[in-house]
Amino acid sequence: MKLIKFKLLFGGIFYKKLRLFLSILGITIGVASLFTMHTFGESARVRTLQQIETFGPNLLMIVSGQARVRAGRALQAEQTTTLKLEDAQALRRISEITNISPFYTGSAIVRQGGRNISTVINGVNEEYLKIRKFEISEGRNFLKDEIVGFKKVAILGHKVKKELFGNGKAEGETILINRLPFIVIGVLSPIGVDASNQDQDDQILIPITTAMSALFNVDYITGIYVAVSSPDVVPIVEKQIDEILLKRHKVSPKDRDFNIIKAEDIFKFRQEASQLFTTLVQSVSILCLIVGSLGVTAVMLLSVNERRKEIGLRLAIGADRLKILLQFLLESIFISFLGGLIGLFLGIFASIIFLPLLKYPLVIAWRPIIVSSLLTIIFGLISGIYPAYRASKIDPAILLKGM
Amino acid sequence: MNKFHLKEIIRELIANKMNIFFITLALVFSLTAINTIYALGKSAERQILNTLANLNFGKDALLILAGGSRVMGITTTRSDTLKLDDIKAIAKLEFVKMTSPFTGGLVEVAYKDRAEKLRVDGVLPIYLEANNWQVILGRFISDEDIANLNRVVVLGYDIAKRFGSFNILGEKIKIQGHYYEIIGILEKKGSIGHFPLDERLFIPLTTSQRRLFNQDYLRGAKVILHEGTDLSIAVREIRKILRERHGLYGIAPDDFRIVTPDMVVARHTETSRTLSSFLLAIGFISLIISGVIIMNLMTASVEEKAGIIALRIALGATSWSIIKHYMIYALFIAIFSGFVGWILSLGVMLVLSKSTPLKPLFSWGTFLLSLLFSTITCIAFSIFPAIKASRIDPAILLKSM
Amino acid sequence: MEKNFIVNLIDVTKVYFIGKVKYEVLKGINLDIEKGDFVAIMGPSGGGKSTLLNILGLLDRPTSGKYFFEGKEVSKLSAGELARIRNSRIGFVFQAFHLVPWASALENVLMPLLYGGGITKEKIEYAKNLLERLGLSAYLHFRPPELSGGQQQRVAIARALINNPILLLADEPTGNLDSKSSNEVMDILQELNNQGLTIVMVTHDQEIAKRAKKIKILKDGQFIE
Repeated sequence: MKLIKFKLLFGGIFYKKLRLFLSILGITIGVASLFTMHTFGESARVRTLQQIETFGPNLLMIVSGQARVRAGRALQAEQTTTLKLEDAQALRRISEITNISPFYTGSAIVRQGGRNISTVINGVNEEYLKIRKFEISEGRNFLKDEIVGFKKVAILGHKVKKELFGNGKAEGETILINRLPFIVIGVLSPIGVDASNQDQDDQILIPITTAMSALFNVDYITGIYVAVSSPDVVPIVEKQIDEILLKRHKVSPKDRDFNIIKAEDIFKFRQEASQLFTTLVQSVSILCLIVGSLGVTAVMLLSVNERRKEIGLRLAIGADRLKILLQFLLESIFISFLGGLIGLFLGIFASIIFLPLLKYPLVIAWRPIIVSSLLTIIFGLISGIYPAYRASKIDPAILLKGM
Repeated sequence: MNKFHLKEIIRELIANKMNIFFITLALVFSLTAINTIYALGKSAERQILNTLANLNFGKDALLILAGGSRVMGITTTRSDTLKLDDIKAIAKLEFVKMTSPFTGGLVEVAYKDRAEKLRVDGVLPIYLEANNWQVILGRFISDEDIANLNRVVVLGYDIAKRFGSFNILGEKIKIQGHYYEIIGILEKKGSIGHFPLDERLFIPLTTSQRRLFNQDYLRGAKVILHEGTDLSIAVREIRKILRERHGLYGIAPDDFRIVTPDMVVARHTETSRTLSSFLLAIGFISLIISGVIIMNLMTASVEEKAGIIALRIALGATSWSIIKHYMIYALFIAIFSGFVGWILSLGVMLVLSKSTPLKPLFSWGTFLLSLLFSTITCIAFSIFPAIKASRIDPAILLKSM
Repeated sequence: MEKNFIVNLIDVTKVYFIGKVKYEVLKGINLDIEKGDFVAIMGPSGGGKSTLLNILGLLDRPTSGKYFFEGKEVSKLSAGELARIRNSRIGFVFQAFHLVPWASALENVLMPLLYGGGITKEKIEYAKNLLERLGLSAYLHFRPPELSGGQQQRVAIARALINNPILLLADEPTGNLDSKSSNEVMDILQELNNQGLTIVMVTHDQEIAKRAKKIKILKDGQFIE
């Protein structure tokens, strides 16, 4: 019974199958692209958050010389030689600091089994991995003894390991860094490009002591990474660090020869930029839905025109105009909704394929689904209003013209 | 195709007002979006190119920066190896027109009762010519200043503005505790991306090296090449010389970077390029949707006119002439929509340029592009209905009447 | 007003404006139709037959005059109330049948129930019964394009009867049919009239009109005796 009722109300939609298919197709493409764009936006947001992970909100970076954050990148304007290993030790006094790792960054030529590559060498201590939240996929972290004891051991970045050892085992092997032999004790999991825009897979970590003495022969460090107990204490710690270092370097604040960089400084710009990007892309993608809805309106108008007699008949056999209006409004919504549903599935499908392909994290968030569905229904309604209105205004007298 | 046929097509177009209206509207929406996005992207790129060209960095120029790095950012090699002699050696290359070495850094600058950290660059007199710059007041650094290590300073436009007065020639400002005499103010140049060009002070290179920073190395140099020099050859030659002079062999990384105008443009248009390619992709998708609409409405129109088409076939029209009829019909719509889309995009850009720094770009190229896309869409999606029309069986005439 | 009058038209006029030109289509029509009547309305084209039928069927309102349907003044009723009367009290049969092409014969007959009465098992049985009585038991699930003209018109008659109307309005019911089908359809209408259904029919055809009990001729917006 219900079925017959449904068929008598909406059978007209299915009469011209090709037309129905093409109308739905328009909406489907629109919704699929809208959804995909929204998902990309969400995904980009998650990616930024993941980047923040390796430079979390509880992190501070002290770099020697003058550095500025511009366009979300820490740019070192010039390097000075006044930041020492002892400065890092002195900072341990601050009680809110949980971990601290000085670092020295240089580049070197690495040799292994006839393969030569040039990569970035980061001298760090055993707390570095914890501060940066880097994972180890093979082997182990540095031991404190290895740092203190100037040991020649190395942890390879994911890409470096691939280049030197392929898929083989790296742990326990010996590599030459600037002709000095180092034993590989570990390999990092893939990390990607971090907040400072450095490819963290293309690096080798070694003990800071070894880097400064045996490898680069310097008595200063590039900077210090500091992790604090909670993001709330960052401003206090920043002030304390500033005071301690100014005192140790015996300089006035205006001649400060170091710079403290917070996560905030780096991410504010980035988040704003990606926000703008996402908003623009999402708003323009509504265009597709608008155009798709135009198609529905056009087809519905056509259909109302073709079905004048059916409408006239319905009026003659006792339908009132409101029922006719409602029927055609529902038809538009039905087409949009069906198109939207298929589009949503296609969009999810496309996201599952393309997100990993473009190295974006795979997120199927509720927000894009809800937004797309709502917009589809709204546009379905809008696209149906005029045709439905036209339908309800049809004069049943046309039936008697003998046509 | 004669006049009679054309008239018939136009009459058909007019008779189908509603269909044509929606087809055109959908096409116009998509085309307007595509045109606007494309033109704005181009205009943003052109703006950067213009700024660079204005700085004499448009072409035939490159920049050598001290310190090697895999990416922009913290240098991973020594950055104190680039010396004036290196630049002099490069200047001797036959394709080099001029070289302008510079050094500099952020230092404390005090004027009257205010002090702040500003960027001070040490440069040679040739800097003006190398950067296509002019002083608007006073003079620039002279050879005499270089020879005598004079404590003189030329202000960037924004700095002078910040000091509150342009009438400050001859006055002294304090740089890192020493007094420098203001001898000139530079014209305004604007900024490249986030880099403000006018917020700098310029002092003689020799003064900056020996008196201010006490260092014998440079931060970089600008190299202007003779017109028509192959940039890639120039980069290769300069790299060779610098590596030789710095004793770098094998795969030892460069301790300098050579920046070409392309790299600067690429870096500054990177984001906007990704953005516009995303937006363009959306535009194209909406164009496809318009195509689907065209196909839908044309098919409906063919169905509606089945009788007339059957009559034509019965009167001897060939399949090809029916297809041609609908192709020309589609072409009319395409040309009209392409034109309107282009005009509207100019309007949209004009509105946008009022609220954003983007400038509208008028070009016949986008006009042709608009027509082309419009035509391709219309023709491609009319083929199916046209073929359907050509296959109509004239026998329906007998049945339906 | 006597009880067994179904329709009383008193001085009904209908005026159309096309642009600025005024067309007086009906010029004071008086018409009484009793229960059980079978009235044929004839007359030349443009004489106002269709307009009169539209007004009788509550599809249009008179410009002036009064229309009593079953003793009730209907010219002032709301559109919704008129729709309800059309649904429950009046059946329509058209020259072009006006069947919905995408629905089967049975579904077409059920269509009026959508707007009143509701589709119930009994009604479906009744619809099948009607179609059977009209000799269409083999065609319940055929779609209109698969049926002949006479068969389509019989489906349309069944549709008009589904809600047990008191008045059947037929507009040139045989206009699109060959003579054999015409006779069949007229037989059915006469049979229905014999069973007590009141019928008003518009036709051009003298022979068809003769089958009715009364013939009225409408010319230039007025009945002529």
